[in-house]
Amino acid sequence: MLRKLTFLAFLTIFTALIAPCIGKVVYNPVVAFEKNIDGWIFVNIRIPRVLMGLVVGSSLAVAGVVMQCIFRNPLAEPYILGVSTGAGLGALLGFVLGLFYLTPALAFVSATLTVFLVYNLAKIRGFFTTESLLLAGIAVNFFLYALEWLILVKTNAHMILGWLVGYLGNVEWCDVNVASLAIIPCFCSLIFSKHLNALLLGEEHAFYLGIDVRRVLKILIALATLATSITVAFVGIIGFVGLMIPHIARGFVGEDNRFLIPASALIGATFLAWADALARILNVPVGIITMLCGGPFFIYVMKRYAKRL
Amino acid sequence: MNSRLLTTLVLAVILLGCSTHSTNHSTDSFLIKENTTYIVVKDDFGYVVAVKKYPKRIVSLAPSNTEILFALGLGDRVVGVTDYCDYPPEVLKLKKEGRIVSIGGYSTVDVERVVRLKPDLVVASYGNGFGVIKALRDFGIAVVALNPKNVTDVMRDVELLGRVCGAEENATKLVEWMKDEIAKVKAKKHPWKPKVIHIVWNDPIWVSGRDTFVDDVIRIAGGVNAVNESGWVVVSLEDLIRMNPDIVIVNSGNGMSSKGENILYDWVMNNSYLKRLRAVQCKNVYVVDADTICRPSYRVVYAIENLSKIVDEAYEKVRICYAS
Repeated sequence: MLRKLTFLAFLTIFTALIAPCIGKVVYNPVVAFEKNIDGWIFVNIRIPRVLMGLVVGSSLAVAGVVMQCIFRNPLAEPYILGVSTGAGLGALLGFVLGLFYLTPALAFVSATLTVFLVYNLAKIRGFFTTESLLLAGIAVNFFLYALEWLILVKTNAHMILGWLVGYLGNVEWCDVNVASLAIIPCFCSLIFSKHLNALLLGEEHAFYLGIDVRRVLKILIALATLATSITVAFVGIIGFVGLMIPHIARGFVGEDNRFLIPASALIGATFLAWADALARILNVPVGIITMLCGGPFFIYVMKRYAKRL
Repeated sequence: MNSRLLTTLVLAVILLGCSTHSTNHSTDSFLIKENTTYIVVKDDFGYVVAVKKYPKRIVSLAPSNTEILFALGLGDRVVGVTDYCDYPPEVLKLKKEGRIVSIGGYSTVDVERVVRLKPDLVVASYGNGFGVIKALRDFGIAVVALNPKNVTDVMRDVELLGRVCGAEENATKLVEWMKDEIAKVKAKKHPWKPKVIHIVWNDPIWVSGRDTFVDDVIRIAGGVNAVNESGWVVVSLEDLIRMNPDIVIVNSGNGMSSKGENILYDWVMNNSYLKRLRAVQCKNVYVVDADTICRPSYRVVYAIENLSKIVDEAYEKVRICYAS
């Protein structure tokens, strides 16, 4: 198992080294040491952009793993459950009110409220069903979209259209420095990986294993929400990463969260860095590429689990 | 989910009023046939329209069309315009008095309201959508659809409208005036041929490429478009920095309309990356009137004159900038 994780780690490092060279204009890495405009672009635009892709990809993937465990649902994901959109609403309010440094905090508050709402809407007689969870997520998503568009249309915030579909093109070094904090909740989730394993068996089982289920659930939801909100505040709503990556990672390392979380983080980072490299070549927001991959993947997962039932 | 649809819609609205370049039309003469009661012309899409002489109730489906009609002295025959038609100021007054009816937006024309006005001529535009144009034709209304892609096309369209509405004399005068003014601008000797970029939107960054209306304006004013691709294109921050234009022009207002603060200008001047641009370093970022540079009407001449002045002004700034 360790060997597999080492392989994934090498893959991520390889990506981090190669991805900055790729774009509409392909750079030789030595350009970084040149004192011309290309060197400047490489160091100040390409590298932070790739680093941001790595951070965002891993946080969203880990948030996806945690949510799939908590809700015991293979289709749970920050975007589908409305958490990303909720965070987006808070971040948007932050932009509009000009509270740039408070934007991630506002995103977190608003995302937390959204999770709370979806959690309670989806719980029917103490249980989640796939339908109730997805329907609650969709209903909340649509409602929040309406609010976001209301703000967009009525204020100058319509200037951040790219952000709304997830865009890494405006990332600066200072953004990367702050957004890297999203790694912290990911590491914290790793500490709780045994609890997550127990929760996978059901809340009752977890309780008999001596876990304070309610408290652990709250902490885990907060961690996943925090990781999501930080990324949303900086690069916008990037969908389906949290859905696709955990499933791919399961194929590598299985269900055990002690390995699944680091594997997802590494695959997520690699995936988003490459998706953004493609986005750079095509000059489109990266969110469009993840959605294009995520839609069919969603249907694939749905069909596969439908067969199992 | 549905944000993508809305994004597309909003991006469509951003380009509102700006002409597009995707259809072909011949530049040969538009007149097909004329007798004492009818005039038959070929419009910008090659559609042959028979108009009864001379239309008394005209509906304009674009701000540029309204401007041209009023300039031709046909203002008293215009009965319907779009919500966005605001020039000449007379239009606003007539709208308030109820003598001109608003028939909806530019890409959201209310066909029902147009038909109810019983027009004998509708002057449509590419941005109205072929559905709207077809629907009106199905009602038996004469629709002349315009799609000028450059300044020459505008002059031809002025002549076409003049001919169809029996205002040839005014049309000829207007075209002569345009030609004179443009010739004056072209005769001006500029000390340099700067790379100019027209930024339409900032997130993602949209710019006017080749074969757009603005491209023609830049060329006539003595500059060269910094963008090599055709049409309106999305570029990344690094593309923009690599192009390193000498002059940046942005539309006035908030991008959606000419009203409000100049947020595009603020963005260019305050973005920490764009400080690398020669244009920003030498303070050669200019706000241009969105309505004159984007609407394909005779007023584009003012945009050309303005940009030509900017080219000279920018040169002086560059000299001072590099001297220090």
